[in-house]
Amino acid sequence: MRASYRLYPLIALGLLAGASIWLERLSRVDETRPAAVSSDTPDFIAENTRIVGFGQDGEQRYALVANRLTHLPASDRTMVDAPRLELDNQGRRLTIHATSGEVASGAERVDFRGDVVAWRAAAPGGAEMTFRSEHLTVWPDDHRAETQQALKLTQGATTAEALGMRADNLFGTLDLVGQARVQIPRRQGSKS
Amino acid sequence: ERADRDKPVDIEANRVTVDDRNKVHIFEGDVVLTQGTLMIKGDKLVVTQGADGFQTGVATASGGRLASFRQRREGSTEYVDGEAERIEYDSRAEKARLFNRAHVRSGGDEVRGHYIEYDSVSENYLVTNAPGSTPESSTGGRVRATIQPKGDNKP
Repeated sequence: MRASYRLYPLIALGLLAGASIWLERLSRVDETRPAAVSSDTPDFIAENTRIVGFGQDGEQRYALVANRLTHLPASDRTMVDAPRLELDNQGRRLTIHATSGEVASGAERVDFRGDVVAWRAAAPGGAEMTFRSEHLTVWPDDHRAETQQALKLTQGATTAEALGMRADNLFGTLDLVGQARVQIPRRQGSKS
Repeated sequence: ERADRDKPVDIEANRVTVDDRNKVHIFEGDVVLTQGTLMIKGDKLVVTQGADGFQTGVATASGGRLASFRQRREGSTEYVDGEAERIEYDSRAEKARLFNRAHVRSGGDEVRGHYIEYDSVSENYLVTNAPGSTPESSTGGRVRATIQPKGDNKP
């Protein structure tokens, strides 16, 4: 009886060691397991989403509505189906929609692709502007936009076409580059 | 030609800068403006657009070349051709003002001077040595005009 009594600490010690080995094995991240299957694997997908962004002043800066939003963690890109972006700048609304879009990391750049249509509210005394192309890149924070594909613009009855465009909404300037062609309507109200 | 003013204005160029605030379009590179029979060419054209459409256009050329304009005369197949370092076209007044090395030809008539103003409604032109402009050395700054005698059969 005394022998078993002397064995008791050894048994307890053995149990303790076994348990810690078992616990250590359990919590060890298995290095051998393969990394996330591939970089294109989304970590989350959202359907029928509306994302609203605010500036530091608490004002709404943009709203992005999309049928489907897929986030790819490896490159921190977000792919959006049927995106519609609403941007407000100095009280003038700019809306852009397209077949698809890609939001870069930090949302400082958005690429719109496929049937891109943008509409900008009229400035006081001016006319609203529309833009059509197959591609448009927007930098929301800088209020800049650019495309290197053929585009068509209208402003009121004036139309313009070119092979590329750079727009800076802060300064209200727009550069059309490459075979630019503008048609200004005949003067309204003149006697015919 | 009178009908020109009711035609849309077509402008082609290598590049256009639209200044939304100031309602100015700046065209650069092989610029051609067309409105009916009126055609203005230059390396650069600045168009100010009024609320009711095209307003004024200022065409210039670079590298010593001249901006040019051409327009058919009312009820005629003849054209008025003009060129100068700077051409200002006012679609409201339907006047073309040509500055520096200005030269206008219409049929057999021809005038040269520092400043020529061509009124496309009355089809008259006024040619002067604009005050303040430096006289053209080659012609001693004088105005030169060649006006063809009108034949008996001409109205």
